[in-house]
Amino acid sequence: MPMNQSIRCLTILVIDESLVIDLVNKSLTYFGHSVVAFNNINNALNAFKANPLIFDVVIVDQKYSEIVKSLFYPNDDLDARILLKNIFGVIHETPFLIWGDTIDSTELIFSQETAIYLLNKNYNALKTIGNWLNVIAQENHSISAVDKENEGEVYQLIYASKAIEDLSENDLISILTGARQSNQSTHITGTLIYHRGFFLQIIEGDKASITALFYSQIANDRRHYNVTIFHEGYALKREFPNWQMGFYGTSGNESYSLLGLTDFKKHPAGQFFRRYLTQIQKHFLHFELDDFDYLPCLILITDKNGIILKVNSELLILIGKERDDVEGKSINELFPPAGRIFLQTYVWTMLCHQGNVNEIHLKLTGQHNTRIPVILNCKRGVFEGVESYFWVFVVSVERDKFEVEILESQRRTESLLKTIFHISPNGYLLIDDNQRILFANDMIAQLIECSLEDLYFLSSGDEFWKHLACYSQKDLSIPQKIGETRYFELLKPRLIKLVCSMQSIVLSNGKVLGNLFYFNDITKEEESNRIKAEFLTHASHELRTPLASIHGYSELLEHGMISIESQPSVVHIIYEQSTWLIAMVDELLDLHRIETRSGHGFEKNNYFFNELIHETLAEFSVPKERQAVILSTFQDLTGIELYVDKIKFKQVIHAIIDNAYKYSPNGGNVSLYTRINTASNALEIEITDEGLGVAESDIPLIFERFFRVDKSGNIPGIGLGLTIAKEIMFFLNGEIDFNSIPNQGSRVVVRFYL
Amino acid sequence: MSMDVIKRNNVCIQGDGDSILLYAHGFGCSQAMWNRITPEFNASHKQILFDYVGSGQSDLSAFSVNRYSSLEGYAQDVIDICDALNLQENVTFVGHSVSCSIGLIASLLCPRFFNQFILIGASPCFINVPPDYMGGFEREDLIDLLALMDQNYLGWANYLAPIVAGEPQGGAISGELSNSFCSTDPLVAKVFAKATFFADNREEFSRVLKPCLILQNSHDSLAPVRIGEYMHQQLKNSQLTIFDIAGHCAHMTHPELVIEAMKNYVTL
Repeated sequence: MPMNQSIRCLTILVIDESLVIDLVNKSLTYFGHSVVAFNNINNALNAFKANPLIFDVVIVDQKYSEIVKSLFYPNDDLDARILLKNIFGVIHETPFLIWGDTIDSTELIFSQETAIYLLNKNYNALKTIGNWLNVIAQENHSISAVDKENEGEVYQLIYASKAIEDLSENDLISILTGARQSNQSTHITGTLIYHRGFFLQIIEGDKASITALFYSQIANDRRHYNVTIFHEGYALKREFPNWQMGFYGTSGNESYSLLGLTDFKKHPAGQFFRRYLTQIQKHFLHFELDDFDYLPCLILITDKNGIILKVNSELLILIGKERDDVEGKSINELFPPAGRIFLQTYVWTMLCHQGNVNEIHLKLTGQHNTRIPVILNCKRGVFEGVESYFWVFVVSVERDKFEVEILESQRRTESLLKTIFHISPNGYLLIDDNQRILFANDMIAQLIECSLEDLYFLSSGDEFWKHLACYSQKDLSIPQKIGETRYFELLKPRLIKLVCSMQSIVLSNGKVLGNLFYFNDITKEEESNRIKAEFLTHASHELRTPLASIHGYSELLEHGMISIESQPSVVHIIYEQSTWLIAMVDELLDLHRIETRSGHGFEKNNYFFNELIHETLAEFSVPKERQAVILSTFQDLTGIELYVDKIKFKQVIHAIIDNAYKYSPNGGNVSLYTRINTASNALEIEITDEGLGVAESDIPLIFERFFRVDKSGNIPGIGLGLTIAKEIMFFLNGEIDFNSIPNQGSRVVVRFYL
Repeated sequence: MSMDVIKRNNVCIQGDGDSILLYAHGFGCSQAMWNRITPEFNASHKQILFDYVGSGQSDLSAFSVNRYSSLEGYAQDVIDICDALNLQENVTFVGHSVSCSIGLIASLLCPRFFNQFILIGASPCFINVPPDYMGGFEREDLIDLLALMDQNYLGWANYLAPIVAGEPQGGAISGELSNSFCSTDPLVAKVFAKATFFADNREEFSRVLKPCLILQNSHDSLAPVRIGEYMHQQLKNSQLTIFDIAGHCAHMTHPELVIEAMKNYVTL
């Protein structure tokens, strides 16, 4: 073996990111030793753990020193001697140097103190390092890894390989140790491993062994990118699929041994190597690519059909693909299906149309089918003389998260507002100064009979008012000033009465967002006012009639205008009229009481249903000249009990029967059926008459307070009977159904849930 | 009414001739996409271009979510335009992508206007319906697409309230938007996307008897060749031409190929 007899080749483990570049530089002068650098303590430790024997020296940054100490120096022994037995189960002596106080990290020069320390430790390897480092300190000198004694042609094989990160630490170690052990006639004289996963290896040997090694191990290994063999006389360059190979020779007169004495910087190999490394350094060891290869964004160039012509390493690393898997393929393949559609329907049409797109959000397909959010800018240009597209992606994971968050929060606010305004019976319409509709709720959409979504497509607020005006018989007068209120009557198809007022919405920064029109539907309010007014008229009439007769007769009595024999009948009239009056006032009070006391004061008990019905009917005084209620049942209800307030129960039934008689002034039967409705598990009492019936439009109003079917006033009553009955039934766990056909009669079902 | 439709769909007429070419743009675009094709036919054909309601320079206020949630709504736009222009049976309908389905639906609803069809990058159904039909996309893919659209509109769409820029035509906002996307409105685009990508018009295609020229690209991820072959089989009276090119918009990227194929077909 023609070389390296005097100095043992060391493999040095370096754990420090910041010094890597320096290391690459300085390692030139370390020539002949393997340096394995890690920027991650855990990876370094794992590598070490996997095969501690291959590392001769470990150099560690001070910031890791505590960890290293605790792991490697369990007894806090700084003796640079490690008992790894406790940790890895092997005994090993690997010296550690710790950067920091003792080593100038920028110059990578040991202090005198450290050098002495190291020398004193008397480790051969450390001595060697110390010596080297001292030599490095002197400019223009380098250390050769070559034995002076052995002369002969020496070739150096220098190659760079990529993506150590793709390899496990074990793979890495096997590469390093394998190359060293399996080639007796060659020697690894330098290995630089860059933290981003690229390493550079220098192997020396004679021509035959170098060539053999090259073809047997390196040429076919696609991980290796750029291979150079140095030797005199070879200016040959051969094309290899992934990398370039060149032979560079030393001068014929220069013996191998001279290499070691020659100023490295002046030696042609050294110069080449330096230049080469500088280049590598500059390109992050990504070789052969343009300057955009080391820009912190993803870059690719496609032809006008989207076929990828060129791609930078950032992109390859991110998506975890080989260059060959990407170049020559369609850009579509970088995207998941949704992205492809978006690309085809939006991006390409825009690119064809205007030649560029900006700030498009897309997702790339990453390793293991993950999605990587990116922002795309793309423009048309010329690449190598051909019309092409330049695509630049910036990874936007954080921004994406943030935007999704914003979107979500906006959706939440939107749903909240929508729900709140949806349940409001009133309308809200926000129109800005440009007449744009900014907000509207469902009620507004219903006003012009369209969907809420379609409402937003109305081109302006004016458009809305125009639509609204179609429902009004008069011109609409729209509020123009803040606080102004207008009254609208719309026919759609029922009459709707609205009060519309306007307010401004001012944002916290003082800007006016727009004018909010607030629509208050007063149709019901008006209706109830009308019913109340009607009642007052009616009630005063009803109250006045008996009062007038009481007043008239008592006046006649007082003035002795009634003969003695007529007096009893007159007193009886007064008595009857006042009884009627009391009953009427009682009804009013009753309703009020039921409403305000919410059913409190009901005295509920179990009663036999049949007996209850009989008692109720017996207590009802059938009007003169009318037949009694016809009672029938088709089921045997003996023993069935009902849990009710007896008095209230009777009040309900009496009110309905009373109506049945009153509203059949021309006679006819009043019938009462009882039954159990098994489907709804309820006891039902059905009361029918053959009287006037109720118009269909009046049926929904039948239980309204003071509502009276009879508008003529011929039939006595104040319109509270059914209202009270319904209120009572609510508290008796039941309900009342009302059906009617005009001029045929009515049917009321009183239902008690069991 | 007829003037309303002309304005509503931004109908533009150019060229002169007895035969009529009616161009219908695809999803996410406007009639501007045809501007590399139309100059070639100005001398020989009367050419009608339009934007679907909600796209391009159409009248946004005519948009209705209900109507445009299915392709029938867009087909109705086509029929309205034919009606308004009082066209007879001499129309060659030139559609891109989803507009091919729209055109065929329109011809089934109202056959009298249409003479023949030129279908560029058509697909009767984008969704996979295993085992018989593979449209190319899963339902989840299309849901992802809607999310992507949402995100791309975030920059300018106001999501704080369900607010949409109902700006009058040619206003400041729609002017800005034309620089970002051909379509003017996020909600419109979403409605159109749903109508386009969730549609299954295979049954309609099988009922079409009028002559059709199917132009498919060899590398189109949206409408691959197998879809072209499927349509060729379904459309009884069709002719299939495959361009050896990539992408979904042959009429924009390779207008010369499309023009040549169209010329051969319309002069047959």
